[in-house]
Amino acid sequence: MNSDPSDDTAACPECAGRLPVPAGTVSGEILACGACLAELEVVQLDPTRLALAPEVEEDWGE
Amino acid sequence: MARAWRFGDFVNTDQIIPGRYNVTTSSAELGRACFIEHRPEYAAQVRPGDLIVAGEDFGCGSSREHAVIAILASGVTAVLAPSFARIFYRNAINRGLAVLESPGAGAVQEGSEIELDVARGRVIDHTANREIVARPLPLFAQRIARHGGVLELVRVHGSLNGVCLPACGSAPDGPVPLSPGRMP
Repeated sequence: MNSDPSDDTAACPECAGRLPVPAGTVSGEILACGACLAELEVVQLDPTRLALAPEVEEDWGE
Repeated sequence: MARAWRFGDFVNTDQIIPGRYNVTTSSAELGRACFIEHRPEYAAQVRPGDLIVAGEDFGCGSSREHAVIAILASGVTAVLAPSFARIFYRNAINRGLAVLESPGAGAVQEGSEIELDVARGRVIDHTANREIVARPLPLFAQRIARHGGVLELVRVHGSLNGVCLPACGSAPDGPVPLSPGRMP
């Protein structure tokens, strides 16, 4: 992750706090909210929209 | 650490394994011919555990099951892509090849050091220092994969009924007991 001064911010869907969206962020990337620690998925860019990252219910038994 | 083999959009099954190889049932031979025309260096350089990262509609074209067998025999155990051709996707589940939809797969570069965390549904791109989502298979498909394919599941349980036992919620570990009357 970088901290380019042109970084954008987006709203956390969990706590409504603002978190930075680093330059170069891609769709599907995971970001962590610094306030509530929720794992968030970037579901849209320009403007950035975040959603709670999917939780996995079951692994492959590995 | 796994390396990413990067492919573009609409990689079809003839690029994965040309039709002239479909006369053999030898997995080893299919593995050696995997991507033989599309990426001639692939079979000689791929390492066990490497991952294929592709674009949209991976596995389109012919419905040949050989495509999945060739990829597995080449040593790759998972393919990440934003979308898959539906028959390839089913063949992969039936054969135990992990096929995970990942909307950010296009950002992974050729040769990147990546790690697939199946349990968390995450792709960790160590080269780019980021994590992207890898959507897990539906529960019933995970269960088929855990058995090593649909044939092994049917061999163990005698039927597909009961494969998707819990309509919602968690599933038990290990083999799924038969539950006649329940539809997968």
